[in-house]
This record gives sequence, structure tokens and C-alpha cells, in this order.
Amino acid sequence: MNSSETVFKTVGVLGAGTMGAGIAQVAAQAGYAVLLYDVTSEFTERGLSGILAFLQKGVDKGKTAPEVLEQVRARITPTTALADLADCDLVIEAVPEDLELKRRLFAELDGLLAPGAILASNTSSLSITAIAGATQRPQQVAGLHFFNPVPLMKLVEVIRGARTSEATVEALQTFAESLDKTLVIAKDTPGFIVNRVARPFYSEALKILAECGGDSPVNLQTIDTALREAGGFRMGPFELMDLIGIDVNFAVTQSVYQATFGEPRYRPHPLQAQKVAAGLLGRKTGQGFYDYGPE
Amino acid sequence: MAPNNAVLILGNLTEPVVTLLAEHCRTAGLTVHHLSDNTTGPLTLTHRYRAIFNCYDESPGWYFEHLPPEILRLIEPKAFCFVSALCHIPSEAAATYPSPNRVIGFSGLPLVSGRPVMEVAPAVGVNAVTLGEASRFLDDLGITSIAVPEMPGLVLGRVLAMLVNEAASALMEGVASAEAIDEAMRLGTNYPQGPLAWGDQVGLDVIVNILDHLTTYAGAERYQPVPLLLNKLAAGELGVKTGQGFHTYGSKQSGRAVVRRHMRLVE
Repeated sequence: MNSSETVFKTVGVLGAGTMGAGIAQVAAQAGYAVLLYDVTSEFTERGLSGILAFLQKGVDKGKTAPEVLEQVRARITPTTALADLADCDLVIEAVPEDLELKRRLFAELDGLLAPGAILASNTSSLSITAIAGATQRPQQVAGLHFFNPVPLMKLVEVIRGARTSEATVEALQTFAESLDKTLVIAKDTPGFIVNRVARPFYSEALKILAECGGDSPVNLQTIDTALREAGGFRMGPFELMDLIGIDVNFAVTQSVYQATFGEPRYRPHPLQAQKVAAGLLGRKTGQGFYDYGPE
Repeated sequence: MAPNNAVLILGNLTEPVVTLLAEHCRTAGLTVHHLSDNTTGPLTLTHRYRAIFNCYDESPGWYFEHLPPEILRLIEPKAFCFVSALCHIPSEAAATYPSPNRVIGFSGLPLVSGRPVMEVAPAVGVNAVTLGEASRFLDDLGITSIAVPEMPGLVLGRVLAMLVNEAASALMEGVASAEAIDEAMRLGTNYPQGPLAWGDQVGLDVIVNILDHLTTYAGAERYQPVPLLLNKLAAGELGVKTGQGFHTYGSKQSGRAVVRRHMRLVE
């Protein structure tokens, strides 16, 4: 059942939310046996059915062979017992962005897993080094940062913590390649590459908005259109924030700002804070910077 | 060719924008006269100029003080005065021009990426009719214009300069290699180009110029070019046009160090 090219035998995924389920899916599609963990069976079942629904759509469109869906179903084992992950030689954590929660889970896994096992975190904003410090094996802890939606986005950031070993980075490189992903290696710094370098796309747009008379449909459209048509960006910053979720984007900005001890250029913008406070989060709430029709 | 179908381009600060703009004009059947520090020899002055594109980074009124009268005479009273918004705030420039109500800021950055688009920002005295006429003039050159408020770099230049600066800071700190940074931004967030390669394409001197103008405009530290960018300028590594920027292009030519002209403080 396992492809002979796979690096690890059994992969554990912690967290069956959007990211965890996506990671479990691509790992299973690449031939790995996957243990998908969450705190309740409701979450794990939801995660698994989300994976199967995604693949079913592919089958219906003729893009995915029907056998693939059955193979994936057979390879993923949902569980709510952390102890079930004891035989995993790679665990990828994708639980909510809470440092203490991650540290607690990593410490527990450290006690459960075999000495050679590697622990990876999908965190987008927390320090890999800080997470690794909760274990006795920081050399074997690294970041493995996927992008949403995992089955479609080719990029993976492999994050080297302060004590991560070269062997761990290489093993994760090989693993990411076996998932047919393109990987980049980055040092453990706030935002890594993508979430750091992308910050001005939003922060500068908010500053321009504030300088040009503030939040109005004309101003929003002017900025979004200029960046799309003149720049060639697929989406302008305001429509993109509405799509991602203004709160999600705001959380990343705050995280980078705090992690750099208040580096001025990462300072979050009051206008964005206000949208979040008002519950105007974007498409998912029917309104964000733009209005998406009757609620 | 109608005798008044000529365009005057001044300066070449924003190469390769200037060359691309000249190409668009020539393709549309206009005669292009290009005056810059590199111009040698007399020009054939037989046309009246329908438009001027001022791409000099001197003080906005500089060229009027320095243009020979025989050229000034050839500028149509209703000529559009496009002033590079990568260097100037249009309304500030307009104050020193003979026809302030014809002054329109422009950014040709999209031309560098092969997009026939320019942002335009009318100076404060320009009315909607004039702006419409200017847009149609650009349409005739095969260029779509997008109206934006005035600011250094206009919208794209300002956001791009900050993206390049942030990418440069990540490279400077050793977060990842230049290739990794660019690939991550293309694949992870669907940017049309990696910021470092994009900066190289536009010209790192152009990027720093926008950042310097933003620093003055906003009085804010956030626009300060990071040391790595300044080192690139000092080494003459300006990007594609010198064969070396953040990446290497073809055969390396030795570039002159670029002095940050905007930062020459009054003594």
C-alpha cells in the first residue's frame, strides 16, 4: 500500500480542520498511511468527509480516477486518541494558532513517538524554535508550512528552527517533493517568507486608502483596479482580504508585528481593526470592505 | 505625418520605461524627440509637440529653465504635460509649468512588464475634460490609462517599492535565498512576478527613488530603503539594465554607482 518512494512510513496529522484535512489528503494521495487526529470524532469525520467530497468533485469532473478516492479513504485512519500516533515517524501539526496549545501537544508527542520521529508544525505565524523548545528533540522539529487550499497550492515553506538539524530539513524536503510540492527553505523568522513579504500589499493599500479620503467604494475600487490592471495582480488587496477573511489577514499582521517587538512598518491599521470589531469579515459574513449582497 | 504629431520625452531616469514609451509613440505614428543627459548632436526641430513626457528627476520646473527657447516655442499651447509621478507630485510640478491645467502625472511601470497600461494622476487644476482628452491620447498610443490620486510612485509604484523593500529586507537578513523568496511569492500568493526580479526589471534605482520620495512625502521611517538596496545602488547593480541586481542577467556590464539625487540635501 505504501509507495516505495515514500520517506516516512506513517504520517500523523494533528488537527482535522481545513489545513489538516488538506495535508492528510495530499499525503494519502502520495501513498502514505495517514492518521488524522482531532479532539472529537465529529471533527475527524468532518475532516475526512471534506476530503472525500473534494475528491468526489474531481471524479465527477473526470479529473480524478475513482480508484484514487478509494485509495485515499483506505489510507486515512481518523482517531481521537493521541496515543494512536505513537508509531508515526512524521507528525504534522495543524491545530489553531495558539503557542501554548502547540507546545503542550509537541511535549506530549515527544514522549509518545520513537526517538527518530520528526515533528513538523504547519504554523504560519508562531516561532518554530519556541515550539521545538517544548520537546527534548529540537533538532527534529521544523516548520512545514502549507498554503490554502493545500491540494491546489504547490508551495511549501520548510522552516529551519534555531536547532533544527540538516538531516531533518533534508528529510522534509524529500517528503514535500514526494507530495509533488515546490518547496523553499527559510529561517525561523516572523512570517517566514510569504506572510512577511506580503505585508506591504495590504498595509500600503490601507495607508493609501486613509490618505485618499478613507473607506468608500470608489477609493477601494481605484486601488484594487490599479493593482490588478497596472500591476497584474490576480486580485487587489481589499477584494483579497475579503476573500481570505479580514480577521485572518489581521491576525497574521498582528502576529508579525508582535513577533518583531513592534517593528513600525508592520503596525496593523485601525481601519482593519474596525472591520474585525464590526464583524465585517469579508465574503464569509456577506460584507467586508465590499458588500456581497443581502445577508 | 502631420506637422504637429510629435512628442518630446525629457530625461531617462526611469529607463526602461522611457524606451518602451518611445516605442509606443513611434508605433502610433508619432515622431519622438528624446532629450536627456545622453543626447548628443542637434535635433531636427520641424514638429510641434502634442505632448511632453518629463522623466527628469530634477526639481519640476528645472527643464523649463534649461530647455533652449527653440524647443520651448514648439510646445503646443494645448500640449499634454505628462510628468513622471515616479519622481514628482503632479500638483507641485504644475505650479512651475506654463500651463498647469495640462499637467498630468503618469507611471509607465506596467510597460516594463509588458502591460500596455499606465496610471495617470491629474494635477489639481486639470479638469475632467482635459483628463478625458489625455486618456484618449494615450488610447491612441495603445495604452490604457487608469486614473488614480497623486502620490509618489502612484498606486502600483508605491506598493511595488514597498514589496521590493520588504523582500530585500528578508534577503538581507538571510531568511532565504533570492530565488526562494521570488518563487515563494509567485507560488504562495500568486504574484505575477517575484518582488526581487520585478525590482530588477523596473530598475533598483527607480525603486529607491520612489522610496526616497515617499520618505519625504510621508515623513515616515517605514519608507526608508533597506541597506541592501542602497548597497546595490552604490555597486551599480541596478537590475536587468546593468546585468546584475538581486539576480544575474546575461553578461554583466559594469554599472556606474548611482547617487541618490533626491537625497542631495541643501547645504
